Amino acid sequence: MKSDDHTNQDMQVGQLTGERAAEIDHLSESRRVYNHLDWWKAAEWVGSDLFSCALIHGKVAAALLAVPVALDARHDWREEWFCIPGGLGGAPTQPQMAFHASRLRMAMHPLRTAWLRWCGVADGVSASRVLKALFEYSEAQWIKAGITQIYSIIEPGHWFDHYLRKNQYALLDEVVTMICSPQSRSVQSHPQGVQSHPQARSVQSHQMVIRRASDHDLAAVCDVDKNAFEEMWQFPLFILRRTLATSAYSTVAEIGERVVGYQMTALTEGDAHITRLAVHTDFQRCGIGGALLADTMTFMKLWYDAQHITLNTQASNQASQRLYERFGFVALSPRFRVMGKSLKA
Amino acid sequence: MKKPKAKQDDSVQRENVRRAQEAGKRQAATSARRSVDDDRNSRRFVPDRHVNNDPQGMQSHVSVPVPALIRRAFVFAVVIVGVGLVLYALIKNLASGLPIPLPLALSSQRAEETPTSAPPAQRIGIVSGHKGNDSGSVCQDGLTEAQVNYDIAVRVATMLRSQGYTVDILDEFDARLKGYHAALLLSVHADSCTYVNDLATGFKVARVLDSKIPQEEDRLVACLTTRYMASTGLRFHQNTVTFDMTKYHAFYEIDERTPGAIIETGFLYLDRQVLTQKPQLVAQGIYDGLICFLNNQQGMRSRENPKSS
Repeated sequence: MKSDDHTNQDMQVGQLTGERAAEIDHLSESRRVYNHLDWWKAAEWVGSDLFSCALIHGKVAAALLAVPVALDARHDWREEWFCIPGGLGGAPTQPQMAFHASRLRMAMHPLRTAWLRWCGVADGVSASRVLKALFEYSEAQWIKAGITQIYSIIEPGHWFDHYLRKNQYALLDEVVTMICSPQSRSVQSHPQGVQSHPQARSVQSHQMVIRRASDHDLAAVCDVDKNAFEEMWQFPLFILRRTLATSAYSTVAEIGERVVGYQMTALTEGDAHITRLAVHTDFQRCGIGGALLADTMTFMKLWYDAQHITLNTQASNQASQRLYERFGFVALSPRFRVMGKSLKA
Repeated sequence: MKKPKAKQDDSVQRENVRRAQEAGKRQAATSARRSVDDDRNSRRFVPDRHVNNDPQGMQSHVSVPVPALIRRAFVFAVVIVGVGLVLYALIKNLASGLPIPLPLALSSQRAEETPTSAPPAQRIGIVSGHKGNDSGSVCQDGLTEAQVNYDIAVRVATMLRSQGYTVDILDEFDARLKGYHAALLLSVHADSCTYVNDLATGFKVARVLDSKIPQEEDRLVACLTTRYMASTGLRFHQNTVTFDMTKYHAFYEIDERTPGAIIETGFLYLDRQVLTQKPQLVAQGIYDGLICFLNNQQGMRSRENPKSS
């Protein structure tokens, strides 16, 4: 706990400090956990300036983590984390935490957008009481850090959805999960790809090549990502690196020597999930997205015999949904909700 | 008698000299043509003296006076001694730069150069994770990751050898890894033996991120993943693929033509039963994956026939 802790009788609210990592591991096992951390454990984020907690009788009763969309998307502050020998998969040591907390502080200026990524409430504790205090404290900290927009993705009916609404988070969009069952014959060629699109000629004349992505492509991939997505949906470099590392198949579309699009696909229980697919706005509607998609479907069917391929897209992104529908994807329900709130000092 | 004879000898000698001079001229002309031809063919510079009818040069073809013989012998001896000294100095310098005595260094070098006589296409390298270096993860009862890895590596090697492959079981930091050229290199590891959470179960396979042969290595990873999943029934735990795997040291030591992959066969805590009590399933899954890659096979429905249930 830091000196500016908020005290409410037996409850204290403040920034989560490094020695609480084991308690966060324990809290992760409780019934009420909201987790949108993808690849990471909550304990790995202990030490972040944006990880706050409520203590009751000196023990962690609840915790709330926001992760910024680093505007300096190339700042790869997490890279060393995964290179620490023996630190992989296990709880980090205190010096490691201190080091990376300082790196996080360096990387967090300036900030505008962040995502609520994790929240846990200990069993037997009143969620209303601790989360009210925790949101108040956390939002003040986020504003101090320069964050003006905070978002969260939540499935309907999730226990945390109720508390988001109580704290004035509004529905902004929905995330649609789409699925298809690739058939060998249907993935050999894509229906509306480079060949058939009216603007395809200009792309073909430049000889677009789809090749495997490597970590040497990450800076260029990051540029495409920043160009193709709104700020709230952008992946900073460290997340792109992690996405690449955990992908079964990653490719870039290249024209000349310029990376103009990319996709990363992971294997999930024998099925495939297209984690990311983006095309630079200068080259959209030229069939590049379709070419990347067709190539991915072919590879995952051929080499992994993927029975299903899934992906997520925003409900408001009609263009990408039309593309996926042409390849046989259909929308699943329920849709995840994108909740958001503007923070004002 | 001696003088006439000498005169006669002189006249004979002069005649011999004349004939020899003519022969020398012909030989010189021939060698000149050869030199010119060589020059045309090889585009090398040929000094003029090779084609010059220099009497001194021709004289050497005719008769060699005694002082010249001595001079040439002396020069030859000096050259031999010089070369010997230079060689001695070189060897001495090399030996002083080696961390181990020269004879041992040379003998081990010879052993590393030819670990097997098998051609690369028939040779397979299996790194037994942590072997020769450390124990890896350690369970509370003393079981080590290195032991589990080695047991699996030996089983896979036995199966591959029965199919005619030459298999090298390598240490974690084996000297033979440098420039290792084979049909493939697989490193066998296992995950932590401490309880993380109920999701800490499953296996993962990865290749190096900056692969020089990504298509080959993607195929190797796909083969290993599908076959291992089918054989063991373990889930694929892709989210915990780490930089330890995608930046694995051995990938940067082997010949870049050698496809490489690393497999974490399971978590020693939650998957211990499969890893230690059904090691044949584990080995079979790896073997099937390697054969899939070597025979250029394609995907299969990994969930249809799990053998571990």
